[in-house]
Amino acid sequence: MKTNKFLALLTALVMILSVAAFAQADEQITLHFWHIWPTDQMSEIVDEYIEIFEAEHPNIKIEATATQEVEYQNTKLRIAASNKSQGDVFFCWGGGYAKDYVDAGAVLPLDEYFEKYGIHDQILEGTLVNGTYDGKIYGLPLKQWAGVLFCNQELFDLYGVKIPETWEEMMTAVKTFRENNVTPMILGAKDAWHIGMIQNALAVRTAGPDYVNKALAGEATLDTAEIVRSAELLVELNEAAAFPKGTLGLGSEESQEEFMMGMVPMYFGGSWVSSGCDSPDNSIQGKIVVAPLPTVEGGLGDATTYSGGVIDMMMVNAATEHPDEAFEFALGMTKHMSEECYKIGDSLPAWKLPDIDESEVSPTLINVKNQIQNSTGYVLAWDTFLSGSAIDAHYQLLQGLIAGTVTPAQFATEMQAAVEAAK
Amino acid sequence: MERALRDKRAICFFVIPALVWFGLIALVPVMQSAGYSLLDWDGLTTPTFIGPQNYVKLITDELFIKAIVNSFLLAAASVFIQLPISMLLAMILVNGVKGETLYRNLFFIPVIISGSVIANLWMKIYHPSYGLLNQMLGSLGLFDMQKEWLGDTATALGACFVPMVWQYIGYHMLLFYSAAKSIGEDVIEAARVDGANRIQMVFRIIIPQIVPMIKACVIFAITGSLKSFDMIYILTRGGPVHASEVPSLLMFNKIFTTHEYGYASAIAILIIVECLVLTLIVQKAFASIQKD
Repeated sequence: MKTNKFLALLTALVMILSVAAFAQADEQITLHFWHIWPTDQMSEIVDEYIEIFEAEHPNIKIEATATQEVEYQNTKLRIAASNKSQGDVFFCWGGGYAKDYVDAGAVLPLDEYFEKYGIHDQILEGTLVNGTYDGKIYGLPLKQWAGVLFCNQELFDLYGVKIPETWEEMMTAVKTFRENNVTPMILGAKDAWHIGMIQNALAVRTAGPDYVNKALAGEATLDTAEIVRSAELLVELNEAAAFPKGTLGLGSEESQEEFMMGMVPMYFGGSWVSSGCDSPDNSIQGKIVVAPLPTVEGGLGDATTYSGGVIDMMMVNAATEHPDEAFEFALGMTKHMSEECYKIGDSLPAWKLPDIDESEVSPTLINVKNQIQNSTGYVLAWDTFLSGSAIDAHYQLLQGLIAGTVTPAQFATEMQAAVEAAK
Repeated sequence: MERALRDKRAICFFVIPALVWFGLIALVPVMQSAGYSLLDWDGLTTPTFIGPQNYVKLITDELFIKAIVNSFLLAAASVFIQLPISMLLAMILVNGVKGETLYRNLFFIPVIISGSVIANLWMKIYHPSYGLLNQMLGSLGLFDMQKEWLGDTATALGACFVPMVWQYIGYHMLLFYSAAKSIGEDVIEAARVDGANRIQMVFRIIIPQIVPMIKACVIFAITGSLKSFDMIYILTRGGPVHASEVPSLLMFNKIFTTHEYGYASAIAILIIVECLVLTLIVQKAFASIQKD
């Protein structure tokens, strides 16, 4: 009797073990993917590719986690990266933002994979700059952006204003619109980065892209007459009442609503504004033309220099258990998104897209793309290039310029001090 | 019951689970923060021990002083504006108005709505061009009084206080109301027989009877104000130019924008200490009131 029981147990054990061994042969793995698109078109694009990938790789399951951008950028990813517990594949920003994570060893270097998959031939030139640290590549470039002036042609025609090419014309436009009780330009200064969009682009005009890039990298000083001038021009706009009333109490989204409703003629924004310009939900569809930021007399950056570049990237967790599969997924997702985001007018592609049908692409974004064909230099938004306390200082100084508590000279001096202190 | 309470071992035994739980989720993190506050640390790389330097920096930081002053102003507004209004409403309801339950529920509604929803509602009210407030002032012809409520350094803080004070009026009202309701019917009856009118009833009978609840409400109002975060974060993010900065918002920025974990932990510890000290002061003040 006892032996019978023993035998039965043994058989059961053997069966369990063999099942386990069988399962191991066709190993099921789960990859965690962290991104910042919980809603709308972008989340559909993400889900779409996850389905494609899972169909191609039946043994891989993708667990996607979407978080609101600001929370993701400021809190979630930062906390997770401190113990490498972020997703196997995760969306990240290059430049100063990811530098901390790379230094802390939380990101996988991708050079080997870049060689293996021949990626260098598939991407556009200059797209790796902000994802490369100490000569190693850490980020798959997802999309490019460029800052341009979006103008509502209908309003310009209505008030007989010319789309500005020089700073004088810009100020004339601002004055004419104000005289007609029209808010000339969008700005939600509660979000300090929104002020930075304008000031950073003005600095490209006054100091030229090469110099600004050097200065942000700490190889030159920000405390120069040109940077002071960029702040002065911003203040000049503010004093001419170019921005909405109470702008310091308005967020960027809240503020841009008036542009989308066709009430405000000018919006200096990133190429991502295009999707809103072509959305059938907005009354400005078909009325928007894009122009480079007006040139400044005596400035070192001409109309072919832009704020922008590649900052959005896909990265792979250094602690992932399945680096090969994770990279394959990251690569596929990046390519898919780069193309689809271009189509919906969200961003300019970072990849060569030989077979894309441009009739599917947002017309405004194609205009932006054509506009920047001749580009001779880019500068990233300062708040993505810098890190830590320098970003905070930048934000406070920008708001100070709008509130009138900081002078342009102070802005330049204190920015330089902040960049040095953050090092 | 008496026997059970005399058994100290039994008491210890039943208290332990709660104590362990409290220790794990409250005391341990506080201790950890106290430890972090002595470090120079960005949250990712190796920390360096710097002793009490963060605290020295903190008490000489103008911004922190400003944030503390702002939070005290809010505490004062809560105690001297919010609580009296709550008390008034509670006393009106206790005296029996028609639709007592309806009013009680109406006043309580803001409390159950999330702070972020309320903040978003008030953002619309304060909008400089289309906001309800400016529109209303405009339609009354009071154009001089129209302001950029959240965008002006002079009005931002006050504009944040209004919804914060408003939201919890119903909460304190309910506490006062239920405390007043629990006063024995015999006491009320006796006062009535002695010829007390409604006003006398409130000041001589009800309020003295609910002093313990008033004490609790004052403590809630003060500590709640010192810890306030959500509403201001959404309405102004502490701006413009730090005009509406409060300590918890400053702490948040120090962690998540400038990555000074040590410094932010020092702020957290000071907020805790501040709350404890003020609670003690309130306790003492009320102890002397209750003695009289």
